[in-house]
Amino acid sequence: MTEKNGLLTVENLKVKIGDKEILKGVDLKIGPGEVHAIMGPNGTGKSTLAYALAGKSSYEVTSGSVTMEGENVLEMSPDERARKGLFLAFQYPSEVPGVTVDNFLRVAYNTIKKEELSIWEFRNLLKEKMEFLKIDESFSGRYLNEGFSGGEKKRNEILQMAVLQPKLAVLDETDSGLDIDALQIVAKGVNELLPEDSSVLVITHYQRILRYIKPDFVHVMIEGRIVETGGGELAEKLEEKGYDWLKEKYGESGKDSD
Amino acid sequence: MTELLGFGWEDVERISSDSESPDWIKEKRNTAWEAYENLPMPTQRDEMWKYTDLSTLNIKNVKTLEKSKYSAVEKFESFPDEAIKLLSDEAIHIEENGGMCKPGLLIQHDSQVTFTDVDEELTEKGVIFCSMADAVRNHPELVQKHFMEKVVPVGEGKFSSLNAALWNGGIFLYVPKGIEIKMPFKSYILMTDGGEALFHHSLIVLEAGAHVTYIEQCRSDDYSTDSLNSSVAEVVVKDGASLNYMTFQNWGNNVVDISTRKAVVERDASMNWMVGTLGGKVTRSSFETRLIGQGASTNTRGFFLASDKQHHDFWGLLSHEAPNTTADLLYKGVLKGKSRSVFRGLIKISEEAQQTDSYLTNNNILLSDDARADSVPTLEINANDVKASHGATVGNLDKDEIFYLMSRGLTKSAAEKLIINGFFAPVLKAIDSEILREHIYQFIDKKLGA
Repeated sequence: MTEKNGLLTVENLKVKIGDKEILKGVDLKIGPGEVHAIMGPNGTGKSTLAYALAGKSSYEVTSGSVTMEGENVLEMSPDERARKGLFLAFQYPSEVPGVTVDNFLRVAYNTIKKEELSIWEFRNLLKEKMEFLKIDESFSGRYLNEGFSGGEKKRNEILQMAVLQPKLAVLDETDSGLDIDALQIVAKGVNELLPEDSSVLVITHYQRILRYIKPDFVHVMIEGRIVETGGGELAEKLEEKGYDWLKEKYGESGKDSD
Repeated sequence: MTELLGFGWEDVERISSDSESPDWIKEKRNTAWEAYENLPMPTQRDEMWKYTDLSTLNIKNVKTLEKSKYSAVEKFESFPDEAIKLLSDEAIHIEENGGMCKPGLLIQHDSQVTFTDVDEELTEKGVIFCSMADAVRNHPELVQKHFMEKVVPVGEGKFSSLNAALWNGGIFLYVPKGIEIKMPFKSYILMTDGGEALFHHSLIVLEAGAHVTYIEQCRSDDYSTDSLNSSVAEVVVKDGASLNYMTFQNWGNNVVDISTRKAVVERDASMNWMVGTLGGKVTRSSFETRLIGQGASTNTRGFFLASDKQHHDFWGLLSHEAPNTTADLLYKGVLKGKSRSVFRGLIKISEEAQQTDSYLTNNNILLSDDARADSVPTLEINANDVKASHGATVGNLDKDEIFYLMSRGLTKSAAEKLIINGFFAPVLKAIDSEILREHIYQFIDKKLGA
């Protein structure tokens, strides 16, 4: 079972929310330094996979396994997963009133890196990443996501990723709602602010972001399963033909378990 | 029915005979005692005491102490370590300022004022910061007309009358016209044993255009016998003056605290309260602000963190009695264990108080299923051209927020603490002193536990 060379291995993962089975047996292998994309129509379970990987408690894993560097991720709490190097850029991050971006991120950084950076040391580190992502200086003193525009929230997620330097960054629809300039900045952040051997899993509905973050592998998810896997050209094909041909081909098979 | 308290006329006589106090104050004690005797002990049948059952308290044998086991010192560093172990933050502050306590610091151990230091330059300008006992002796012309007269008159309440009869501590702060002082005047009230009764009485008078901050902090260790602290604070803020009055209560778990603080705010003056309640067994705090002059304003910020079986009963009155007055009250609480809180707030707008703005907000977070918070904000509006609103919430920590923070590596308990600190932040950011704010955050952290 354990893949020595693999970073993340997902096997036959089934996930229920309440009584409804959303993931119906997902298989996925991500190696170090690889960029993967999962595409698919809305409501097929892409975000469920992202949340399940991060360990959201209302998502019940009914069977299958998830391992990271050979360790059982499913046994870990969300914070243990983060400390192991898993990062999820949320599609809809929570607003946390009264907690400033810099204070929160310093606590997170010190926890994950097992360091004790002072406020001043951390501010320098943060400032550099913020400049790269063209985020205004005043941003770090604002309350986490409170009153942020959609674009600011997304950029804030990427800022956190850049600071925490995960081994695997899962980007859940980070592209949605971004204008082209913001999208380019975010993509540049993903391409340049992560360590060489970090891996990225881009979850998206659209092919647009994949023009800037070039995937090594593209997977298509339909009704809770990965039904096709290919290279970058698969994304282009989807852009051209849409998802209907895949829905027709695979759609019915997934419906029996509802 | 057994009596709640065991005080008698002999206690008034003893306190009167012991002190070198003038006749008028002895008179006042006598009148107040009479009023106390004539007023019925509040019960839960009284609307104002509906949520706090005094009959279960075990404070019948509390005693007023004549003095503390600690004697008065000239210099802060002369205190034995034991006497100031609860003042480590203040000790650091004094050391950082080269031994200076400017503009003024007063420390009271039990019923004895053990340390007073006031900036002499301010004294020359007519500023007075001293113990209440000194004030009635040395400044009767300033004290007599305010002491339990207009602000909290004798006979207004059972406990305030008892306080007027038996008061054995407190401060007097007087700031003459136009004097502005940035740094805060501070006082500490420390109880060093169980079974005590402390009746702290403070009077603050700001003449027109004066601007000051006063920070009062109550602290004690936990003792096995219950104690009573029953304070009264009277505040007069004259035309265009402004007072920041901060009071932080961190009594041990044996202390019953029943306190009344009241301010009368005149034309264009402003009164800002900050109230923090962290300790105590049963705490009943009453904050009343009367905006009697046109353009007067008040801002009240409050927070509490209750645990175990702590009981917090808060009453806040925003009384608009003149046109163009504004008030804003924000009170935030977190409850753990089997603790219980009630917030009652009233915006009262009289007929003549047109063009008034008034806001009252109370938010509570429950950390356990056994904790309970009640919130009763009310409006009583008799003018037609006003803006007034109130809001109250009682809820749990948001699971999605916790998950979000945990997904960044924070443990569950670290995530919860951060969210709670954030919840308190809009209140605590009003504290200017970083040392004090840090001290409060540390205490909150400790109280929240692992």
